[in-house]
Amino acid sequence: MSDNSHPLFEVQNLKVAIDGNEILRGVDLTINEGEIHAIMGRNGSGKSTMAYVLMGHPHYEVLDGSVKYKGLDMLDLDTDERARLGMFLAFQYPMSIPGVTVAKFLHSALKAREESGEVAVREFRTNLNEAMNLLGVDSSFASRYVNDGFSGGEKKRLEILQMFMLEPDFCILDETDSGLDIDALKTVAEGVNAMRSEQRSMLLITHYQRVLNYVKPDVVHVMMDGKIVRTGGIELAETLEENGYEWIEQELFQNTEATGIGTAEA
Amino acid sequence: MSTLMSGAEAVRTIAQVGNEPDWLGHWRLQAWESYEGAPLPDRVAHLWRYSEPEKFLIDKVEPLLPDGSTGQAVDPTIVRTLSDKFASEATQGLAGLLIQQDMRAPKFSLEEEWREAGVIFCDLSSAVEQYPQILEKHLGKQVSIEESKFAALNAALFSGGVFLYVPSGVEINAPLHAVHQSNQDLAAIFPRTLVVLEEGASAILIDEYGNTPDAGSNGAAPRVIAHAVTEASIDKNSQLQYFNVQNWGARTRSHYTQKIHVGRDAQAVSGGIVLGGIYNKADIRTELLGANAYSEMIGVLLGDSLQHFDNHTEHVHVHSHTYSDLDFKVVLEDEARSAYTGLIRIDLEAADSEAYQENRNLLLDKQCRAESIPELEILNEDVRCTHGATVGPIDEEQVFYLMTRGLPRRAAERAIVEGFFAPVLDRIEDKAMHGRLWNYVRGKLETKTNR
Ligand SMILES: Nc1ncnc2c1ncn2[C@@H]1O[C@H](COP(=O)(O)OP(=O)(O)O)[C@@H](O)[C@H]1O
Ligand SMILES: [Mg+2]
Repeated sequence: MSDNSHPLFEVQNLKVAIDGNEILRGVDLTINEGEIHAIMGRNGSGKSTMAYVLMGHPHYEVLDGSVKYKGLDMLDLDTDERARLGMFLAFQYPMSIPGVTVAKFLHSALKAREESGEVAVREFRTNLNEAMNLLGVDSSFASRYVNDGFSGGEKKRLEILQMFMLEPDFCILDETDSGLDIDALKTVAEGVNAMRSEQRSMLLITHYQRVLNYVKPDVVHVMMDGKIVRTGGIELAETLEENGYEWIEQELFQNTEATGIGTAEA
Repeated sequence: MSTLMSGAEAVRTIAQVGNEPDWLGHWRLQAWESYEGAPLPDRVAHLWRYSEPEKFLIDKVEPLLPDGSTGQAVDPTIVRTLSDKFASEATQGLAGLLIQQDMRAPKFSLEEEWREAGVIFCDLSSAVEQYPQILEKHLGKQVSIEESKFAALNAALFSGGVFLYVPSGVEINAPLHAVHQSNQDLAAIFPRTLVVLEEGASAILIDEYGNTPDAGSNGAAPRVIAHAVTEASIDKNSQLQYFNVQNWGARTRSHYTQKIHVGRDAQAVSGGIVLGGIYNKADIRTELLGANAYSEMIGVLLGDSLQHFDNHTEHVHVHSHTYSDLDFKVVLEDEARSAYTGLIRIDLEAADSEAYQENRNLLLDKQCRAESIPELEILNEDVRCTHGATVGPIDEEQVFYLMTRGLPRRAAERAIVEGFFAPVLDRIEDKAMHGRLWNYVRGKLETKTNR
């Protein structure tokens, strides 16, 4: 991280509830252009909630805070507008869209980004084939229905394929590594690394340290109970790998005892 | 009838103007008497639970009569310039085309090759004149006067119409397309289609109903009551694909009766593309009459605004070793209503048969309503039979997923709707036909996405 870096993405004091339960309890996060941040945390700590809220999922209620991307206030925008501005989410559990082929889906997604509403079919086909080659997916992929009957690994590859084709500036990858065997993990990681650039930032959500052997993050955060409780470098991930999350809990608990308040920022 | 002419007079006029043989004139009169004599269908009777028969009475509109113009066989290229709609690729690759407005002045063409092979494709009135024996043998045999009050009404007053006859062993490898347009305001119209396939014959027919959107007063859609009938008899080893495109205008009430009789080793694929009209009821039945008779029935219904749809299908297995498969998909928006009832009847003698039925309904708005009721009458236990019905809203998680890829909500919904219909239309193997039917559906979707 250099000092003259520009923040691409800024979250401040984000508080979010679903069905009246507060799930995110004040998240702060700044990601500069070109950086990869990892968010680690146990199941249920609020990682996917955060990913959904950043993309504008309608079921979540934002209680407080702000989300800025490219200096624009995202919370005022619809999901599709955020997407067209260059935000992308690779889902932990991608939805299947029966009856809609991967090719048609990607073509419509690309067309939605164009002023003219047009994307030349031939050029699109060429790009799609290239991307599929790179990710080692079979060419039959294009004519299958989106995620319909896909294995876990195929679904994750399709998420990366979409990221390739849509070329977003800010990518959130929600547990794209989980449920993959080592070969699939490597392919996916290669895809992510190939996408890495000076302008493009990524938020890598995971609860295993494993993927970080292949994709090196600039910053590692730990989320617990709806808050970011530790921030550090890659060594934080390594500590978690060795010692688990208990030590953080203990530290937080001691902190609470000492100060009498429930916050503990690293 | 409020007009100057009584129904019986109207019938006589039609018979006279059309120079019709006595048997047909008698049949029409008998049909008219039957129509007049029959009480309105009982709302308690299951076929009329969802629609009001009064809506289809014609006493406040004028039944259209023939004007003496007879069918005109023309050079295909002339037909192609008839209207913009048919000027372009719509006519490409067709074996034949038939267009008529208000049941009058039909223009038709048939490729040389098929004319020479003995295929007949023209309006029913011309056919009555030229092929009286064939007509006497087949007209009204599947959909008879006794079928229902409104089927009798069609028999009494139809003119124009469509006749397709394919002689033994002739396989037409390209689709035929018939268009019934109604343009007169405050009119009743009676389209009738008769299809006869002799042994080993095959044909594909698109039968389309529509009206010019602004033909009514003040540029509104015309107010029309349509009583349509299709009957088809397909003999041993023949193959028919019949697609009925219901694209009536926004102020048409339509009642439709369709019956197909499928003989031994014969195959019928029939489809309804149901898009138009304001108040619509259809009764559709395919009977499997010989060993290895096969029927596949598909339906694609897209309703919006205040449209009312009442569709009843029947697959009747009369013979043993018969097969039926039905896939009917409904998408509703705004305050549209749909009732679907689907009967599978397996007769006592129809052992070793298979019958499948699926009706799925997708609701895009809170105000629309769909009902789906499977009905089974299985008299022989030695059969395989499944049925499924679902009614549900659009999946918001799917919409969200598509929106995260940049599709606006409308486009996302449209993609899901197209995906919902795709498996039904994908059953149609012929690529050109597949594309044609999609165009009707997309045509309606288009107007929605852009608004
Ligand atoms: N749709 C929902 N309704 C109710 N509770 C939810 C919903 N989604 C998530 N939660 C709750 O929010 C918390 C955080 O979940 P989630 O964001 O999925 O965590 P993570 O992705 O870190 O595993 C969990 O306690 C979960 O039960
Ligand atoms: Mg999660």
